[in-house]
Amino acid sequence: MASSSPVGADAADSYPTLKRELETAERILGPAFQDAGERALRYQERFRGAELTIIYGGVVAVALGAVAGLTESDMLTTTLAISEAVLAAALGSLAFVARSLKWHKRWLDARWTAETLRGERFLFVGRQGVYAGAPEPERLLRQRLVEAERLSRGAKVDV
Amino acid sequence: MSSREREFLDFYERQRVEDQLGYYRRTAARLGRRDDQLIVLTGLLMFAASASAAVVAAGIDVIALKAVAALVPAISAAVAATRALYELERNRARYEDTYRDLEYLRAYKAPSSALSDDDYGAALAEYVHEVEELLSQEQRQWVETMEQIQLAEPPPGGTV
Repeated sequence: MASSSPVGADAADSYPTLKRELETAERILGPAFQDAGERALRYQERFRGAELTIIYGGVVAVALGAVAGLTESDMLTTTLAISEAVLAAALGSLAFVARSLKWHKRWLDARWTAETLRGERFLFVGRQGVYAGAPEPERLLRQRLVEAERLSRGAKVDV
Repeated sequence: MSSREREFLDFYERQRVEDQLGYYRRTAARLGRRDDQLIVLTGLLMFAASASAAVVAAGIDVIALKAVAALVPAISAAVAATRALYELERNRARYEDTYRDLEYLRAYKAPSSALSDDDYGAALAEYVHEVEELLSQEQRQWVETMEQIQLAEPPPGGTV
């Protein structure tokens, strides 16, 4: 889905006839693109970190239960049982926090916005798509930026 | 063709098309490697589960084997959940498909410099439209795929 390149103002020097549009796109879209990209990465890491912790923490909980079931020491069995219960409670809390803070949804929303803005940049610079023949392309770009940030993910933005 | 359109095509090819092609190629390869590793690991776990269960069923009373027999299914489930979390198979397949489609567009739909100015402008617009449609479609499919991720359930606890 996402390529790693930034919106990229550095291209302006290599393309003199596009320089003005590239700089304008960077000025208008750059901060929003960078913000969306950083948010996407942050929530992706949180979401996946939480999910992997829940998945493999569950394995540890099963291991504690299995060892407790096999040992003959009452004290060890009790210790393992308490450890398992504490671990299960911690994992349950993590799942609750991850779901409540909507890390999954925020990741997808932010990635969607970043990728939409990336495509918008090219259309604007090349005066393509909705920008072809537009009387006020900069104004349209600002409107499209607002629209991209408002639209829910999965919505189709006209090319 | 105008120098502006010529410059834009060069810019678009390098910064958009080639950038996305590189991303799809690298990511599909990375996801493929990771998926293959997890599939091999799943196979090894299945073997370990069967072997330890057979030994335990044969009446050989080794505590470590009983622990393995109890643990391996949980580890196998965790590996399967990891594969599902990253949607390795579907994402890999979609990236490979998009890579091929984008390569096709670049090879056959990019405007030729032999075209007249008017034809060149129209061909450029058509090319950009098709590329952006393809990338937008991949973007929508990625979101749909990742929305369907089965979220992990924490253990109930207190199983001892």
